[in-house]
Amino acid sequence: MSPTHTIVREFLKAVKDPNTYLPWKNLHLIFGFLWGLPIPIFALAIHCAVEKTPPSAATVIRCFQDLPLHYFFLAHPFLFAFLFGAMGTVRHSKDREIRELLQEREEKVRQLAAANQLLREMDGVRNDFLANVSHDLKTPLVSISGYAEMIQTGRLGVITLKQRDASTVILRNVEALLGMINDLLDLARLRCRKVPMKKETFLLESAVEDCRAEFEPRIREKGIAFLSLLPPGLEVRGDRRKIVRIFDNLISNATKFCGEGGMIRITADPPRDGRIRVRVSDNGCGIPEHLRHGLFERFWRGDISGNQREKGTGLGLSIAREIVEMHEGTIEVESRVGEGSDFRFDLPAAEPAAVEQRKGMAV
Amino acid sequence: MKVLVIDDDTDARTMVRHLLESEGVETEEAESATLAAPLLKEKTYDVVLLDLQMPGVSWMDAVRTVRSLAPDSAVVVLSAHADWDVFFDAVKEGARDVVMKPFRAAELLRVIRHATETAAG
Repeated sequence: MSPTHTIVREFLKAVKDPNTYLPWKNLHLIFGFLWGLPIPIFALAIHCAVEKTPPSAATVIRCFQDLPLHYFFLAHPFLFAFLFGAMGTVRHSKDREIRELLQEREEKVRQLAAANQLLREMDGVRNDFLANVSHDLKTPLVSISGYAEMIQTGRLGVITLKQRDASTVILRNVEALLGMINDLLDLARLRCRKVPMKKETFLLESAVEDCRAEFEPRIREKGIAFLSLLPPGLEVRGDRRKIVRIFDNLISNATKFCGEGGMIRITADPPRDGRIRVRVSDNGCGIPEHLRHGLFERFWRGDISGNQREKGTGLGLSIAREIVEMHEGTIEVESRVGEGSDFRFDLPAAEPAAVEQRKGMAV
Repeated sequence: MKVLVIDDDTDARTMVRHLLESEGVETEEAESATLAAPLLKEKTYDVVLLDLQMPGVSWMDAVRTVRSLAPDSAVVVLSAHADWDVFFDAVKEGARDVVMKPFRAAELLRVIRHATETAAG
């Protein structure tokens, strides 16, 4: 729409506005009238000056009779009043619109602030809730595990072999339940980004070695070949403990999937564009396609290994994904039933300057 | 050796008492730090096992109360909280050691032994 068109439209709108010509509402109208008043006076004065006649009532009447154009000049104050009045109304209505918009904006800001406050309160409530839930879930376990252990170790009297086995089962399940509670709490914390993320530079190998120690007995028991084929000196930048957790969960899964004499391989590509692509693969049972969907979702658990003793919380991969995402990476899986699974994720590489510096120091 | 167990969970408290008694440790119980006050004033304990409830003013007060009433006892804090900050704060308030719940018997016994040894040293 052209500016002229807009002006005309606004002007017509203002003219139609019943409030336009209410002088007590619109000082522009009076201003316009006063502004237009000098025109007929000047016109008469010039006429008198040209005709060289003294200004008097008779002269003025003659002026009008001689030159009807003076009627047009006389109309000027009204014309100006009409114009200025309409302009004033346009302005008045625009001002009102702006005021309304500002009020609306203020109201929205207020609503947002209130919503924000509510969210903050809810966040506090949620954190308290998490702390409470984990505390309350663990409390009964204290007595259960305490007494089970006392029975098992014979502190409460001599027990039979069967009773000892039973208490071992109780304890093992308490451990599992505790693991689940902790996983759940960890995931909830990661989800609401409550845990601060550390930024450390460390050797990727060292993180894998940390996990290896934990799984060593299980790996040896099943006769699994564990190959850590990481390029030497590969450094990443991130939260070491959390990254160890990723390996922990992936190696734990791989150990479950692998049968006797299986193989777990951990490899990584050299840094590219500041990222390191890591692969944890196994030649285990693989993940059927229908189970692969939603693999990284919370509480997912496909009974792949079919082994009751080796079932997890179903939270390991969700936790791994949260941690990878915290490091601005992605995680995905490729798998073939009967051939194995291949988990890939990427982590931030240590800054080259830092690596060089350390190498320099080592030399 | 004499130990006072302060825990609002009766079962957990009794369990700890049974455990310690099986080790030949004389054990008494109290439901809260406030209720333990008369006992602490009256007797001397080698170790006070104090369960920490929700973080806040109350549990800090609990550690302080026990510390002020029994300055010679080693305070060992127990908690089912996963938050280590709670434990750090407890140590700052004068707790000798901390144990995360649920615990293994051996762990608790080791901590109690360690606490009394360092107190003696």
